[in-house]
Amino acid sequence: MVELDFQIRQGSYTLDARLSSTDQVTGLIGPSGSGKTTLLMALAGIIRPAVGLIGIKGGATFFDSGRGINLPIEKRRVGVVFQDDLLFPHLNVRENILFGYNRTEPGLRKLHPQEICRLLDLGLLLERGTGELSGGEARRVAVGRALLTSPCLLLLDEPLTGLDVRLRDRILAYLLRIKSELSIPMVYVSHSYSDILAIADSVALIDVETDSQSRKHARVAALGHPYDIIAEAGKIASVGPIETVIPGELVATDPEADYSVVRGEGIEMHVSPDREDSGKQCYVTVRADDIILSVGEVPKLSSRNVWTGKIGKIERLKDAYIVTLDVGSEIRAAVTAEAVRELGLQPGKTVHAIVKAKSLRAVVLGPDTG
Amino acid sequence: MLESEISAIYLSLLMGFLAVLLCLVPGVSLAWLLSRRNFPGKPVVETVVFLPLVIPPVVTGFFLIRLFSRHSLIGGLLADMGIRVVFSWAGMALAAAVMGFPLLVRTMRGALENINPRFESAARTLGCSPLRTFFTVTLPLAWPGIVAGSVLCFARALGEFGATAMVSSGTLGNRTIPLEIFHHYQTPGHEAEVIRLVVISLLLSAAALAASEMLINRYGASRYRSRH
Repeated sequence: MVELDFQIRQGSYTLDARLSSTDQVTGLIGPSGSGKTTLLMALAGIIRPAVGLIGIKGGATFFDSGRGINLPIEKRRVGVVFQDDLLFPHLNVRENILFGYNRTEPGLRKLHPQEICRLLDLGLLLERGTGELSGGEARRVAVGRALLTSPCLLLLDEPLTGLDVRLRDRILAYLLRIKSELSIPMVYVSHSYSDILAIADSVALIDVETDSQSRKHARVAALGHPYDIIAEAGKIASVGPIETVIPGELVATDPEADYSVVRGEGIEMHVSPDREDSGKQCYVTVRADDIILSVGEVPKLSSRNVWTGKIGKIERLKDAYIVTLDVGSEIRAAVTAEAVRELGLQPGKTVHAIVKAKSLRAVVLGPDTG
Repeated sequence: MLESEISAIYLSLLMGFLAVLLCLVPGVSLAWLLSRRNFPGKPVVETVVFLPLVIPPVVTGFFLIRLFSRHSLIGGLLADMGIRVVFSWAGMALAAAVMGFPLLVRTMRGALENINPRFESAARTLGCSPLRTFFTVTLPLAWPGIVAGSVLCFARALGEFGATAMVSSGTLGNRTIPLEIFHHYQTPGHEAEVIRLVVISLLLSAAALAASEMLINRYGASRYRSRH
């Protein structure tokens, strides 16, 4: 639902953002420092591009350097959930979430405190000070505060960063609920592929190149279906933590079991925790750091996933080697230089990849999962 | 207590309050400008504002006399309107304000610089105009600094000697506590008065500091502190 084509220059850094998306949730991924947050801030009006155009598809124009339009921040009606929440410390939770609501023209209020408090379970937090909130609670308050301005666009800057795994899934569930119950378009910045796969309808990849004079040029390199773009991003080693995403289908398991099984092409994955939506299409994400490589006989292991395959290639990164191997699906594992030497890793060699079920995340597709 | 002493205490307190009153709005505005904006000539403005902190107060007083004497442009205009600055309590209040102004601006600027400007951006995304953002977010967050700056300005005005002495007529009712102390000090046999005024001066300053602590705790920091 966003349409933008602009350029931002900050010293030796240039961002060329060209993006047009009609989907409800547009994901934004890219290496850290590539300008994901900068792009959001330009949408919100906090950063002013040098030239270009920013607007809502078929809606308001926020910025148009050609026509001399630059709508002030407060007139854009763009809700922002900042990476560090930015809850006002001099106000309590109730005052925080009503801050924007009270400043929204009554005729424009589509969302009301009661509804948002129910949606985000804020009822018990209302009288608390912002210093008395846990990370997950503060994030929910920040989301509620932004929503109560009834924004025509919601920007989420890494809303799951800084939260532990269990909280991430909870907040993600809230966000999915918002997505399905309120038809607000969102732009969602994340460096975690599993979040993006779960919530985004399309994804834009920002890539950044440094030229010989160490000037950085960032641009929107690709836009499309989340899985395709993430596969594309996987080829750029500098994009976020290295993760492999494997599509598959949840298979019915023993109801007693505390894990689920996902069957992908030529690979079977044990995923924790148990999920009850068997038969559904899903994506499993595995971080390169969570994979252990072993050569020779595999002893009895507590890890639920042992996949065997041949090494395709070995790439050297700044502080690790990335080994790509074909275990039915292609996965990437991160190992140290010592490990490469001691195990004699080289292309063509057969190795076992060992991953705990707890290290795998299964993301069921579709907005109707909320 | 002598009538002259009571008048000195009254005049000192009045000077303190008037100085804060005169400084508050321009001081907060200037502190905000210095902490949030870059503009041509900013270093010059900074220097001029902070000058009274470093030059001898008597010199500041001299400049004030030159600027506001009846023969000067400003002083002449004011005299035509019937306002006498030099050798009147208006001049003393002005001297106190000029001396207190840098302390007020410095403290408030520090407080404003400590506020994450992104809170202000957040307020804007929630529908606040810049002015409204200033009153609903910036000012409440800077509250402890505003109180502290005002108290410093008040205390400075209360105890200001050099510049005030230059513009004061020095007659009865035109002497603040420090001027009164000096007046008695020069008169043999007035040691008791000197000591009495010194004690009063100490008490007033301590009371001002205590009041500021109370205000800061009541409206400032404690509201941000978590109960955990």
